[in-house]
Amino acid sequence: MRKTYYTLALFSCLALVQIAAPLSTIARRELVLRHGEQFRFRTEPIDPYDAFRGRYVALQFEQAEVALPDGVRFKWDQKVFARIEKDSQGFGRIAEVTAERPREGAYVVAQVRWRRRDNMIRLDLPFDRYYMDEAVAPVAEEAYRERSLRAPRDTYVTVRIKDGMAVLEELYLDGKPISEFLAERK
Amino acid sequence: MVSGARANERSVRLSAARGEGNNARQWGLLMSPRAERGADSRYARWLSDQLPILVSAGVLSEEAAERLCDYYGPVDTGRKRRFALTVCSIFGALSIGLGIILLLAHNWEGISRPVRVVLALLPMVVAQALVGWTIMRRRDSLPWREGTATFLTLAIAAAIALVSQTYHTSGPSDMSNFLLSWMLLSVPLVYLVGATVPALIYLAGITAWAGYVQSDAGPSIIFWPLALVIVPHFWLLIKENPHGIRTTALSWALSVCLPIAVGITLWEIMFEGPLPSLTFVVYSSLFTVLYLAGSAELGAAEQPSRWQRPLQMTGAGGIVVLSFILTFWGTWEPYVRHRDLSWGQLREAAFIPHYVLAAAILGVALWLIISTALRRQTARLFLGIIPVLAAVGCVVHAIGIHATSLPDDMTKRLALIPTIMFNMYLLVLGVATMLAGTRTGSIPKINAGMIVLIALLVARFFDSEMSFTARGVAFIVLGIWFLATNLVFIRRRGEVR
Repeated sequence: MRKTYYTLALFSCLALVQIAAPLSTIARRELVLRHGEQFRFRTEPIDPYDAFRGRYVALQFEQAEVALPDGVRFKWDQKVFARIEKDSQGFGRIAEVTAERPREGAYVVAQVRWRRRDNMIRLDLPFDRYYMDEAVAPVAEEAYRERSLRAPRDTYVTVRIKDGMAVLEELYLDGKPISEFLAERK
Repeated sequence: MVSGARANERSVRLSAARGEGNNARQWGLLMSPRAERGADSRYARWLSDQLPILVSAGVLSEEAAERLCDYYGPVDTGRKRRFALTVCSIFGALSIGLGIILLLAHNWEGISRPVRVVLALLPMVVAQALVGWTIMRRRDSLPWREGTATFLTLAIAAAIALVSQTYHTSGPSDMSNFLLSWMLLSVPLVYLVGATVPALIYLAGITAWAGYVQSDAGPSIIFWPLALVIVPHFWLLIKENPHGIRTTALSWALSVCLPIAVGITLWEIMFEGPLPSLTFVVYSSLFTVLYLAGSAELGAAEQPSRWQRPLQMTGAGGIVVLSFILTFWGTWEPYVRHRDLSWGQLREAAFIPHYVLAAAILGVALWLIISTALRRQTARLFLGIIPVLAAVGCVVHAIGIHATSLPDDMTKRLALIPTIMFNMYLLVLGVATMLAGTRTGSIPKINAGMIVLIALLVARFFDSEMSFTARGVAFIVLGIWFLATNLVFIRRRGEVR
């Protein structure tokens, strides 16, 4: 009987950890969403699939390609810090890529995807999936394709960044939040 | 005495007809029951099924049948029911858990973030309550333990997945983080609840995790300390019943995951280093370890069937397939000879665990080979000797690649040494397996030997890397040798017609 209680006590601890793990993820992201600085990133959405988390819009960022200054080199797959600043139109752009954590300003942790001889690198940014309703994701991609054929694209995401953590906030098509855009289309 | 000899003869005939030449134990049960009494429930069940038939056929009198029944005691008929219950509860829990994951993955539009948090935690909390209840009230029930633990394992995945969906977590190491947190949160269930299904999911999960981490050039070698977590559970299962369903399932998972994990975690030193044929030494050692460890007698009462010996089967299969690959000259050709091959970053301290692991696999293989040799279990060494051959091949290959002062022709000819060696090896292996099968009347063994021989013959017949003359002569010599051995065998038995 005593063994049962010990096991039960240990299991209760485990159960608390199991509940705490997702809750801490939620809390950290909520903090970033409330207090983080907001950036916009131009993107191209395409629609793939994840068995556990459903359909998402994979985002490809024009700003993820960076020219490194002479003498700075990174290895393929290296973890780096990308300092983000706003350009004249208010869109986020990568100002600097460093191996050490920046002391100030907004930054994200990224990974070097590839590099070229002219010292251009492409970064994998920590926000490249926008999960969507299974029924809506393909429609969003289709809508984007139609739009981009007719007019200049105005597709971007808003991202909140705080202390190196980035949380995707909203996907905009044609300057409108995706849900609003799709509602108008219907 | 005479009737005993006749019974013996009949039982051998019967067992040969059933293709179970090795199962002298089975008939031993009928011949010397006292020694085997109560030991082997499978045969006791078989006997209890047979008795009514024997009585109705007039072979046994009813009293004799009753006496036999009394002698062996009641047959455990509840086992099948318990087994069915466990399997049903596991699959029920699996289906419901996966269904919840899919429903949440639909990503219902218009659900607010607080509602999503509740939705994420709800299945997990329900599953936790079920597991808690099982610990308190159904501790001895395997179906409850396995079922609830399976459900909780999947509910954890659903919770993490829904949270990461809600906040669009993504980025380079997102999938590996997801898998690792899922695995670490669920693996304690293996010990707290005493369930094996979470251990199976854990093994598959950490193997997939290692793959994702390796593709991001991360420290996939951590797979091994993670895998060690399962070892005590595996050990307990072996002690409980070495050929039970749970032991067998975990053994299958191990024999699938370990070869994959070796390939993933040792990728750099095997495939990117200056010694590419090290791969063959490491893999041959690994398969030898699986084969020899799986062949060890564990003192089980029942004779295990083939599918109950996954380590042995995977090991043997791996050895044969690997040897077959190594019979091709192209495998040993030093085509990377003029490339820039250096240890480079592989000299860094970060790779010490990789070398330690490779050395450990080799060391365990050698230890098992030596102990098998000392016990004079020579039949097992037929398969177990492959790491030694692979090591010889590796040395020859290394000379071919690195001795740049040697002329190219010479190194190509050097590559013939391991090629011929492995062709001979597989030939001997195929013939020996076939003969062993014929001797014991084991049809699967005869078939396995024949498949090896046929594959070898076909591969060499169509092998464009060797000259037609060499192949022609080799085939004819081989044919003559086959016929000659056949003739000698028949002569020795005095049955030539």
